[in-house]
Amino acid sequence: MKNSVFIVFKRPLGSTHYFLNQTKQRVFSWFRTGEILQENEKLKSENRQLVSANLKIYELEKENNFLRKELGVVQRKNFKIAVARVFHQQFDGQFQTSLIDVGDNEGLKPGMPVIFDGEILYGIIKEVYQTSAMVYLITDPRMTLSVKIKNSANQPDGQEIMARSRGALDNGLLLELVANQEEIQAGETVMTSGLDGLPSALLVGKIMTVKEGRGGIFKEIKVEPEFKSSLIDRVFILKPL
Amino acid sequence: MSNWRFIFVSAGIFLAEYLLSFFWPFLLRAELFIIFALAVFFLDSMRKINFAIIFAVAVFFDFWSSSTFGNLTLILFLTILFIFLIKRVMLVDNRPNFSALLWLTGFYYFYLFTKGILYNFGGPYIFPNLSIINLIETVSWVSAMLIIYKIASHEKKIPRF
Repeated sequence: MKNSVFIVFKRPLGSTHYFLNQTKQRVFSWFRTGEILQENEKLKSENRQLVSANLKIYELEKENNFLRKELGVVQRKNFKIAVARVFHQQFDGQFQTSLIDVGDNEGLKPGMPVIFDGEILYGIIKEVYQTSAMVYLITDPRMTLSVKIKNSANQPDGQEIMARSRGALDNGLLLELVANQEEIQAGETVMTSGLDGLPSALLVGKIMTVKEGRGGIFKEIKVEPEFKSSLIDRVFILKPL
Repeated sequence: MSNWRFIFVSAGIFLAEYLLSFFWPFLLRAELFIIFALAVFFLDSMRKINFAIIFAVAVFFDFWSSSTFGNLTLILFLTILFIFLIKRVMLVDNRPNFSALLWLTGFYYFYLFTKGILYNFGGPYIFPNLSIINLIETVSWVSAMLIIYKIASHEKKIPRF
């Protein structure tokens, strides 16, 4: 029954969603022209750095493939991608979910990760209907993820801090099980660890605040989810091959 | 309040929630339809609205809720049952506005606590947000819904001859 209702409503709601997103984008960009120019300059310089980093990665990838061949190790599993459109978002103060316009017809299954723009994690599929599916956003309190914190200047090379994230609605995400002794700073990147069945290295967000925990054992860390600052229209679902 | 006005206001709430989810998603920290439905059931002592209409609209909102189909309707009706019992035991019909505001806020929190159990059944209990700011927001939304209810239920009186 739920599926039949979604079939009727998803097309008009999907179009409205797209239209509203475009309108919002235009209104916001109108008021932020100065900011956008500054951001553009910053992005240009970042882009130049990324080009050189990309070349290094290309070389490393070649070397990695060569070493895998030599060692006989199977390459990491790839994923097939399904494209979907968000047609409804629900923010009710206690939970955060959204509905997408593909479902069982595209072979979606509960537990599949939903990402957008450059592997930013948006949520996880929880319920699948014939032609639609319900996604729990990573900020929903029912969502826990195994994550790792990267790019700290205080950590020795290659060492990553593992943690568990829990959705905290408009406060973003809270990181749990990070010992007080660990040195973590605001602005560091949080990504999936790959230990809970999700692909590793999907971008979750950036650390906003770090406090010493009241109990004296674990830190209290707030994470700003990456998707919060973006306009979500189309998303991708990673399907294991 | 007539059946048509109830449906009209509910449709308006759905559209308002839909638009807010784009332009200001983190503003809406309350379920407006639930507050409105509770206000109608608590304040409409004349029972002008057909119960089947409330049920049908609740089912429609259930389709878009953030959990398995049926949970929202079930919790709403548990809360309505709770209101019914309170009204029977404590005779709280025809209360002044401020008292109605307090009662409705209480009923809404009862709804949220029940929802915490059912929406994550089998998992850890999800507590509703109990901060002062959230309480102020909830009271504001309840006041807004009370005003909408008062406006929607206002009917022209026919003068006596």
